[in-house]
Amino acid sequence: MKNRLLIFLFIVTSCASVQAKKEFSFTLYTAREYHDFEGLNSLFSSRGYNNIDKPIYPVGINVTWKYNDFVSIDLRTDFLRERVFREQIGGSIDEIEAFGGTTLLGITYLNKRFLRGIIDPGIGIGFGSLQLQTPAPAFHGEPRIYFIRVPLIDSILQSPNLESKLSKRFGLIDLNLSIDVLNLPVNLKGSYWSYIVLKLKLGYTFTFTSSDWRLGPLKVKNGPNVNMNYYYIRFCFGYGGRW
Amino acid sequence: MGWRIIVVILLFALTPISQAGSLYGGFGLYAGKSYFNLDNLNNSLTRNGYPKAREDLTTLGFDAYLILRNRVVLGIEYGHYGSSAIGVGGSHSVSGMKLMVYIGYSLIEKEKWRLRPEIGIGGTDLNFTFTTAENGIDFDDVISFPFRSVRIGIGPRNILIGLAYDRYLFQYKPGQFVNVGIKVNYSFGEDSEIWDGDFVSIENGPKIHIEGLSISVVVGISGRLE
Repeated sequence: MKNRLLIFLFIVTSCASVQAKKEFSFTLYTAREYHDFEGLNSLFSSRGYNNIDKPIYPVGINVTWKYNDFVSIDLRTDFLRERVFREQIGGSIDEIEAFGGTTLLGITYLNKRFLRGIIDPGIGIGFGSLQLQTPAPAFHGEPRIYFIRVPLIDSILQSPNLESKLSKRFGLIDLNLSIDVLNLPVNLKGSYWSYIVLKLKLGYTFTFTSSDWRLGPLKVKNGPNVNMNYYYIRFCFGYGGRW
Repeated sequence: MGWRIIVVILLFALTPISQAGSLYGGFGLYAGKSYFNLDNLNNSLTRNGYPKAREDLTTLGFDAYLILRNRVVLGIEYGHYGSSAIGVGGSHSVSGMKLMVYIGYSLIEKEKWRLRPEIGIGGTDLNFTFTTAENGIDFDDVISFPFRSVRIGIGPRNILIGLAYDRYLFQYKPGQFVNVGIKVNYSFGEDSEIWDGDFVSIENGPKIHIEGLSISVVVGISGRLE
């Protein structure tokens, strides 16, 4: 995930470099997403884990490049993390970490005619991934269940039995409406100006294709039928400018 | 992680430079092959019944650069690789990335093409998953008994020297071109033997030495920045 974030920053920088003297904004966002986790939850229930039933709030970053006041091109990426637990006889806790992420490239039509240009429709395409890791690894300084140091790689290769990370990938299409809530100028210098922006996005993302479940290089059969279809409301806050 | 933060800071530092005056630059997507020296790892793998890891990895990524004063090239290159091998005694997959910043010089600039030697620094991350489970394992079996694999990674830093050739195909706006190119890089890496994962670290892992060629075909745009 760190890699994905860094890749995104590089693309952002590249776009900023190549598209100087254009309008460009950078926003951080969080969202309320309405997923259908029925497939996963039935799996968790059958194995004695609790369900994912609380609200999902992914966090992400979004870059927008406005072209000729006609369309804008967005690149966004976000991730979310959930954990489910079950208690074993004797009191020990088993844990599965679900980690998801999406990256989408979208285009928004900058509507000037209807509703005073406040609401702009957009469409995007991208990919997502879902990973189930068990046991869950350390995160944010929480202690690992165990951590071992081995003297040689041979002992690991002979018994590679420490964890499992099941993964699945998705091709995604996104439909959305973008609402400008705030566009506050903060700096005006000749042809250059910058502003603080607050946007609201309402949308629906759906899966048009997905891969098999995999464990490293291996195909895994009889996995739950999971998709990444969800509605969302997204709050984007950031900074933009025209050069 | 440290080298990647430095690279990001350098990249952001380039952005304001690009907005000062008339500049030239380019952006392209590429596909190519990167060649690694994984002899030590492959010795360990074959000794333990695993198939060898590929030393030639397909690489997909992007290349972005600015040309300052018509000659000096400042750029970044990102590449992603992956491969997998399934064997009788065990299987493994590798995914990784490389990230380089480079400085170059537009040595020959003709009407239809340009040649630029480069030198760069950066890093490579390689993450391996090893398992002795069978292909087609049942999902429920993995959830019931999850101790089926191990993931460990290594991240040596490296420098590269290279040569990039850009051929302009056509002009889509005055001063701006669609181009194809070929990049040939040779990377030299530090010896690295620190392997880490979520649950394990290896004290005397096989040394990985990132040294070898990468050859890429680049398709992109270049020209004067507006």
